[in-house]
Amino acid sequence: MRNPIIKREMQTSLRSWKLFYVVCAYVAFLLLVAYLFLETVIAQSIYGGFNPEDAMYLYALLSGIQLAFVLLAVPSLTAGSISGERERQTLDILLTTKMTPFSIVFGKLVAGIGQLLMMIVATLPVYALLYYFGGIGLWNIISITLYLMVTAVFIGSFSILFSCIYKRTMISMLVVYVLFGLLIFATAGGYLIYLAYINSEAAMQNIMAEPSVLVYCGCFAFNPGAGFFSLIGEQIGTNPILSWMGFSKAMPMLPVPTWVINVAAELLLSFGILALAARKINPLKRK
Amino acid sequence: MIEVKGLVKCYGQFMAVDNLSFQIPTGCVFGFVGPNGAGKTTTMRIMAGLLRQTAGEVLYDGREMTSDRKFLKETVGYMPDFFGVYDNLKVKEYMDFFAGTYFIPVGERKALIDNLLQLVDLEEKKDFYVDALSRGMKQRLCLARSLIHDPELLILDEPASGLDPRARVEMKEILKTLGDMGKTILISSHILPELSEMCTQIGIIDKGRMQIQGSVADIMRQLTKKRVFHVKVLDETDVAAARAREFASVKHVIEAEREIQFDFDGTEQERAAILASMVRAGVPVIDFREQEGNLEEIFMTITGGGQTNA
Ligand SMILES: Nc1ncnc2c1ncn2[C@@H]1O[C@H](COP(=O)(O)OP(=O)(O)OP(=O)(O)O)[C@@H](O)[C@H]1O
Ligand SMILES: [Mg+2]
Repeated sequence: MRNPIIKREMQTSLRSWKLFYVVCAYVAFLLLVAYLFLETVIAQSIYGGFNPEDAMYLYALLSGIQLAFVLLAVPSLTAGSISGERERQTLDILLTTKMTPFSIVFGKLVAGIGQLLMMIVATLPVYALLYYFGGIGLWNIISITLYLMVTAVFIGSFSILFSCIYKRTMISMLVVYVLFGLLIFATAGGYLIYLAYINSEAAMQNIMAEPSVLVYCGCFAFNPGAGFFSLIGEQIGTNPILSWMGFSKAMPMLPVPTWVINVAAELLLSFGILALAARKINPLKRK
Repeated sequence: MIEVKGLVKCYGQFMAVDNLSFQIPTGCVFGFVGPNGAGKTTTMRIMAGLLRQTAGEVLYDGREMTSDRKFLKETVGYMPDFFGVYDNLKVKEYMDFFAGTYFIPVGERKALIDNLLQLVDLEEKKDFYVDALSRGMKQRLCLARSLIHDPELLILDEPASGLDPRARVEMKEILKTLGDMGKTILISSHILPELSEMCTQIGIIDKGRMQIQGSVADIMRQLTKKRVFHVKVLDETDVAAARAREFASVKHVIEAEREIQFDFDGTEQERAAILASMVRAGVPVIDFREQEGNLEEIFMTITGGGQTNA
């Protein structure tokens, strides 16, 4: 499918230096984190060396930073996509062309994700460092990058929806950040309380607590953090969050890993959200 | 032929367009005139598919347009009253982008864009950034853009607003060319004399209703009860005046230096007879001419003194 919006947005964003500066600053930041990590690990190690397990943790750390970066960067790349056109008084013209409202919002989303992908690709050399220490395969890096892209689609489609609703880009960004803050932390908090509750109940009856699939999925199906930790956990062998929480049985038996549920649920919801956004800008929609 | 039938647009209780009906014959340049808030933009946005009407229909060659999105988009080229451009984009890229939005094959684009830019006299600005163009150039670029899919109907909302006199003349020339190309054009403006020069027909709208519609001359004739004539002579002003007074259809003859002026309400034959009588009496007539009616005045009469604002 050829969407002229994607091409145009790429053309104009590559022309401004902003993207380049952001990429440079971000890569520098990742390198600094990697350097500090290695320095600390080596200082603490008995042999004054570095082992593959540490490389795994560094990999998890860097990937976590990538996730945070995606969650912070995507709204700023997409939350102004429709409100910006409105403000510049170019949206009406766009709506009179043969592009459908859906292809407009879809093009905006892909353009935003495309810019993000360029930034992420620019960071891949940092991972090469890990590759050198061993333990991390190429496929790991590819799959985590793909997962980040799904997350980007998810948060990007919400940003675009809000961009269709609110006239001001700042408001859209704020609303997306608050929404995702809640989606990630409030659901996790809620689940922790739930776990504590069923564990105390079970302890009274002297049995093992069994978390419900429904509650787990309700809390985590749309939580990009949950999928991330499940995928990272699979890759490095331990789920850093679950092992840290210390519950004997923190999650129910699931037919598929959490991240699979996340990818499916988020992509599906993203599509719905985009369709809603398209409806918002459709001038001829019926009330 | 475009037929707007019983178009209504309500904003809550307020009727912005109130049962508006008019026709535009194919190939006609139709001037849409009216004071601020008359409902011109609202009508045009409905016709461009940017607004849903409360009631009524717009037919293009008998086919309902506003409910047939695909047909409407193919048929209509629209230029809004206010619009922006993208920064960081060159003129040719801007045109290429819109060619893309109409799914014009990549191979055909270059020739098409060159043609259109030539039409609006922007071909030497092809490699300029769009936001570096002057207002008039942007206006012309937007016009070229609205032509990219070769629409049969052009809807231009105040294409000459904010332009200096020179740019207005240029815009007018372009519209003339488009009219000659056989496009049906609906164009709105506040400035009547300007429209009367380039439009074949004019409709005056006020408070969402069409007050009067027809060719400029028709409207003038319908509205001016009296016609004023000026006769310039080399000599014998008094003889000319005397001859004119002999006609019953002539009133209020005023003599000036080598010129007379009178009110006339007769037929074209009588008009010829007056001139013939003067010439027979040996008056050296050098000019015999009807005073052009003041359109602004008509506009004010029809719209009940609604303010005009350019
Ligand atoms: N979105 C809206 N909500 C409420 N009223 C509106 C809206 N848009 C337009 N109107 C009203 O509809 C009327 C017609 O507006 P319109 O813009 O069509 O006038 P116009 O003839 O184009 O005026 P102008 O010469 O100033 O451009 C105005 O009274 C305006 O206030
Ligand atoms: Mg208007």
